[in-house]
Amino acid sequence: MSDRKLTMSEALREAMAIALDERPEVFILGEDIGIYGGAFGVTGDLYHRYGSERVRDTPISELGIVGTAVGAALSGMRPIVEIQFSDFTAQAMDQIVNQAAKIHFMVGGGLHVPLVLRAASGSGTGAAGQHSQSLEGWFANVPGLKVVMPSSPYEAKGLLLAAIDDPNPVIFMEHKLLYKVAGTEDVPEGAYRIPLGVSRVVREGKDLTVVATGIMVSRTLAAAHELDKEGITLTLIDPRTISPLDMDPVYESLEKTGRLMVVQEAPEHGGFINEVIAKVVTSTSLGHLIAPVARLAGMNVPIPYAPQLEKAAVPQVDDIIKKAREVVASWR
Amino acid sequence: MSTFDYAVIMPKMSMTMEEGELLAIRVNVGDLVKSGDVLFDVATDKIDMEVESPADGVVKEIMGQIGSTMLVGAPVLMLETTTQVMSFDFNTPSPVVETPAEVSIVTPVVIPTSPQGSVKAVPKARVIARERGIDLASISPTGPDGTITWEDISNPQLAGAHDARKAANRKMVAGAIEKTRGIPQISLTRFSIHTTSGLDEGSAHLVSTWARILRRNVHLNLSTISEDLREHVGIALIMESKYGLAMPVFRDPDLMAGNDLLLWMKKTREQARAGKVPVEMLTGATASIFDLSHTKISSAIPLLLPSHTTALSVGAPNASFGHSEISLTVDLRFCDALEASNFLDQLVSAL
Repeated sequence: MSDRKLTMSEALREAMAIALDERPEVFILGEDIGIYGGAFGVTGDLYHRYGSERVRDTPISELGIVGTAVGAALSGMRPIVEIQFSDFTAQAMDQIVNQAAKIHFMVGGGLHVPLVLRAASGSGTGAAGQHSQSLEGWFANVPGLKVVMPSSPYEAKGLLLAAIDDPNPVIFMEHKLLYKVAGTEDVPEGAYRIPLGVSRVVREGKDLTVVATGIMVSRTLAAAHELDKEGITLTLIDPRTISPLDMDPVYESLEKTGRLMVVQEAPEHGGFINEVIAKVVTSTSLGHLIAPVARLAGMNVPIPYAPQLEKAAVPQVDDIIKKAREVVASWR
Repeated sequence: MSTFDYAVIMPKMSMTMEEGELLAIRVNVGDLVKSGDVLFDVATDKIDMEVESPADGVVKEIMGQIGSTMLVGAPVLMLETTTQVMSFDFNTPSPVVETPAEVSIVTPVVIPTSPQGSVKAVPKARVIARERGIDLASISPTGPDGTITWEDISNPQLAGAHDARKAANRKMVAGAIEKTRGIPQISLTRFSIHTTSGLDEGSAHLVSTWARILRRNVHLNLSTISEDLREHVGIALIMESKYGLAMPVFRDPDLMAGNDLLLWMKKTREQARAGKVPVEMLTGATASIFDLSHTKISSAIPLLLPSHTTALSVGAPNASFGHSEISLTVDLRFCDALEASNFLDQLVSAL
């Protein structure tokens, strides 16, 4: 196969095109996703390729968009919703949490809600407090929702196709800074699916086990290359879906490293990543720990507008290097 | 006949006694003892005493270690006795009993087994300790905050190396003190009322103030080894180290800007704690300071170190009155007692 280093936008677009080709019941809806090609250019030319029936521009009403999608899903369609900024899911919360997540269970499994909600998440674009949040933890706390956080173009394509196949709602959190970055792995041209609920061991090392989500996966990988030079090697685990969460590779890795570090962009307080720590310390995996668990997360502040402060508010590569070095050096 | 376990404790022998040293244990586990038999010997700074058995019985367990200092009330050994023994709480006055119609019976003291929970250790160290039946209290911690690390328990060789390093350190200090034993010296103490700030702030102020006085009185700032040192004032500050104590030397601290000295002090304290005093700070002292302001120790007699002419110690401020005891030891070959008291006065007024 020829060299196919796509960006995450391109990979997501390929996945959606495959789904549109494979299943007539798939359609996409959202604000500015048609003629304009999406706020971040993810849908691109899909409107021109598949037409306005299957790539539908909607009015500016997130509640209306998700409500429409829930109804369509209940009547046999497979809608893919795009929310321009994940922050705006707050507008659609009733439809997501009280309707989409619950219906399958409240009718004894008799109905399905096969909808995918894609949302642009995270900071780093200078868009300030209302357009920069990492809200995956909200959804991970709602039973009935699956939550996916792709970390690379390859992962994004395979996970999105699996999410579209899923019979019930999937929240798909895409980090904005990853949209325009070309991945390091080739993205196969055809369809492939990455099952939801299976963690990926990105790399293996002997000193430290790092669990990181979304953009923190590539940041941790960059940190790992630096740490390699110092003789500190880390295992990196990307849960890919934070709900359901596959912890087995974490437990297995801790038997070898004995040190755990968790990294997320979302604020530390009440964040999803704490669940990883909780699962370790409430299992027999605790007995393998040779160091206190290290935690790197966003500060408990709204994302600031000033670029320096925006950067300082969430973990960067240097922070990861420093913390990892400290944990390994202090705990032998 | 029912038997009782009775813990014989470190007794409170004076109103001010808080702890005592266990000098000797006269019995062994399994020995039959009679009421009044001597069980062990205790020493305090004021008095040595033999502790007698309160009842007839059998020595069941010995918890105290000879040579160790134990808090008043700490169990030294356990007797199994058929006699119910009254135990006394030394801290509360006895109630006045007008007619002792009935002897009140106190429940025998039950001593918990080794409290592993109070020892700080990483989870894996606990697992290994349990698997191998190791008492965590017997392991020397090398981890942050006095925590037993995985390496401490799984690699006794390293832990052994740590202990050996500690022992070597102790031997070195003891050897140094031994060398100065023959030097004619005097120690003077006086009270000082001075405000104490943070640990490093306080030490930095002390070090630079004493250095200034030594610089003004050059015959006090004398190394008995090297003439070169006259040019400089070098003060060894006694600090905590993972291997015991360290004595990094601050050279000419009085010539530095206060903030620079403070930063230097903070950095050195960290290095000392990690057992890594920079080589250039190991020598060149003419005086030592033992700053106990932030401990519970009210005074210590400063001991001269080889080549030093003075040694200073500052105790913790008295809880009620706020004064601290400052003690100065001088080498009488270079300074007489009257001069020494003058220098001590100078220091107190400067502080």
